[in-house]
Amino acid sequence: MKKITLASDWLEGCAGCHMSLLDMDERLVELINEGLVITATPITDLKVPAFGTDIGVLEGAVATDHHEEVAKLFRERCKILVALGDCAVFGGINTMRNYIPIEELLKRGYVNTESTVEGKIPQGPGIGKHLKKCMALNEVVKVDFYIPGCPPSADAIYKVLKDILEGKTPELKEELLKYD
Amino acid sequence: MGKVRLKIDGKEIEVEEGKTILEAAKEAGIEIPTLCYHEKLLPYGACRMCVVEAGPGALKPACATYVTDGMEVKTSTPEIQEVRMTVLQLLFGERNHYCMYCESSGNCELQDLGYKFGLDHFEFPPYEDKYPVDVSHPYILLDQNRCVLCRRCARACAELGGHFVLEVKNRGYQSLINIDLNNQFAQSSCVSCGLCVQVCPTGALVDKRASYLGRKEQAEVIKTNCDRCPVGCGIEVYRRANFILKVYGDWDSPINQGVLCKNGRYLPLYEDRPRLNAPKLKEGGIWTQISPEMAFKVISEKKGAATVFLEGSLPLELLQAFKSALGDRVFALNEVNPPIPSTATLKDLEDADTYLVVGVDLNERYGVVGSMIKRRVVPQNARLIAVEAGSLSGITDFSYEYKDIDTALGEARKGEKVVAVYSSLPEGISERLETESGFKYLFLPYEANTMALKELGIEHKVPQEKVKIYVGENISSARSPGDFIVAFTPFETPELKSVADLLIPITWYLEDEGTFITLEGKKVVRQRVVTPAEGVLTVEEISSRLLKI
Ligand code: SF4
Ligand code: SF4
Ligand code: SF4
Ligand code: SF4
Repeated sequence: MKKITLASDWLEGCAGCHMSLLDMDERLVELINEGLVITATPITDLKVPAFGTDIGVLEGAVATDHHEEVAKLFRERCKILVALGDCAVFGGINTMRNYIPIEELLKRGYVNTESTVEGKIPQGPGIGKHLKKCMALNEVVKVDFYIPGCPPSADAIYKVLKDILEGKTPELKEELLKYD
Repeated sequence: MGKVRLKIDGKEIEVEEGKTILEAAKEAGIEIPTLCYHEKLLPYGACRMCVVEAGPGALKPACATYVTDGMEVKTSTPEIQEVRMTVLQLLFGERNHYCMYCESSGNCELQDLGYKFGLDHFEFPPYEDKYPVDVSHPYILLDQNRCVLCRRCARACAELGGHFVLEVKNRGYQSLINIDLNNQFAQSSCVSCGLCVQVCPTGALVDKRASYLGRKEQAEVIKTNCDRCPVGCGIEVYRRANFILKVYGDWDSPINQGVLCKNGRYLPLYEDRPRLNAPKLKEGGIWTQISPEMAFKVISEKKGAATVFLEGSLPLELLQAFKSALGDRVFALNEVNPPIPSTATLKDLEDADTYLVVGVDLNERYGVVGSMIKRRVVPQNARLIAVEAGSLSGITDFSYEYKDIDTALGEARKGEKVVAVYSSLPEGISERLETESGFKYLFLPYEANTMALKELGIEHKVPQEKVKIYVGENISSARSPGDFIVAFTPFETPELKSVADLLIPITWYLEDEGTFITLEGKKVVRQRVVTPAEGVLTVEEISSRLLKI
């Protein structure tokens, strides 16, 4: 049986799309039985996709230099790149920050929050720096397939993965195509 | 009118001259996607979703191109579909169309098109500019970030409502909906008819109260009639569980064709007077809750001495029930008879050239009649002579006070088809008005069901008796020592409680089925849309209890 490898990661997202991925339940096992091999994901020790991974799946918008790096890495190492969920597909709710200056935004979040005492804005080499604008994945790298939805339904994710496994071009229609 | 033969997608069809390609295609069962088009509005051709191939040259908007003999139309070649997809991409990309936090998601014509065309990502980096949001209006929210500039709102406000509040300002991507001249909604000339919200295809104009309370597919839509005034407009009530989400105008109604006014669309949903949920009796200054049996026992005891005063806001069945039970001691609380009887119908408003509106502000009451007049007056298809007509005087050069009634009449007489529109008239004025032989008269009854009181032969009388039974939603009464005052009412206001002795709860608005007779004398039925709270007595319950007293 031909093995198809899949790696996934999340950028600026809420992990809801990955929850939907898990919501495929027994169909995830079915896909694995049909040859899908899940490699690097946010819950595995291996975080980085190997060169030549068949499918890269990214959730979340591109908001920091770290996200940009991960997006480019996935593009470089994966044959097919899938944008999973509204944030990766369109930019999503994260783009609301594009209309507020970054300093003001961070202050509001880390210092001026009503419940915060002596807050400070976290800084350091491990923390990504905000890009000027929060973007959809396709504004940074080329994307092959899109699964919109907030979160996308397990059915939509299943359909796309199944199609790829079967060598078909995935296409979402009717009930499977949703923007919310 | 002549016929025109043409071919659409190879299909030979014959339609009446003067139709658009879109209408012709519809007749032939061929669907063309649209966005800015609205059946009740004039063609505008702004969005270009409906482009078709029709002869040489550029693609043409089907909604704004008229059919010609021998025309050959193609509606969905791959080229056309590609153009439409690009149009959609531009529409989605220009402003904020992140559906996941939009109130209109699931009820949006732009989103529907996105789904239909399989749009699964944005081709163009979206939305760099932040557009204004106006939250100042009590009932409506305008978020220009979701606007697709279809101009439906402005067209409906003008063409259907006659209000001319909205327009589009600026050019290109900087275009914005303009309220009056750069006004905030709350300070504007908007009369809150809500038409703009009803026609907006996107989440740009939303109903504040209904927001996030449920989507269209989660609501049931019940068609019925508005009982807030004697126009009796057709309404569509959106209900979820036992809650009214919103009221829309019924496009198919022969009375109002979709148009509503503030009193019909918004006010009843914002009603905040405290509800009476059980009969209550005042003894020694203390109110105690009693059973309905007990309440009707009191009424039965007082029956011999009691006089009943009915509001004209009540359904025919309830008026009838009191009349059968108490016969000649039943009166109307308010005026019933017209100062001058009606000779006109609403249809006569459609082609009049002169409207003489006397003593009534049609922006405040009978709003849909106001729309029927304003939408012809403002584009100068007809003249308005306003005599003490409140805010209506703002749209006419012919505005008079009662003392100048003769000048006003003289001005009106210059018209060929004159309709005089009035409700109550002060003494002296009706005598002046009724002698005009060339005029048609449209009397606007005082209350929603004044016409039913009239049909039942119930006359008006000023309450003076010692034992009074009032029935209605706006009861107020004077009180003298020794009085006994009963009120059948939906509301227990402090004012009413300070004068009344016995309060009996009745249903209100869409809580009960009931017949209303409109100003044209048509019977319309107000449906029960929501179940009344426990303890509130329905028309049926009251009727059967009245039979036994
Ligand atoms: S207006 Fe329509 S397309 Fe735009 S965000 Fe709202 S639901 Fe989506
Ligand atoms: S509510 Fe009515 S009057 Fe006000 S802007 Fe909308 S359509 Fe015009
Ligand atoms: S507010 Fe709504 S109806 Fe008005 S132009 Fe914008 S999208 Fe169209
Ligand atoms: S005109 Fe009268 S019947 Fe029509 S919506 Fe307004 S209040 Fe209701």
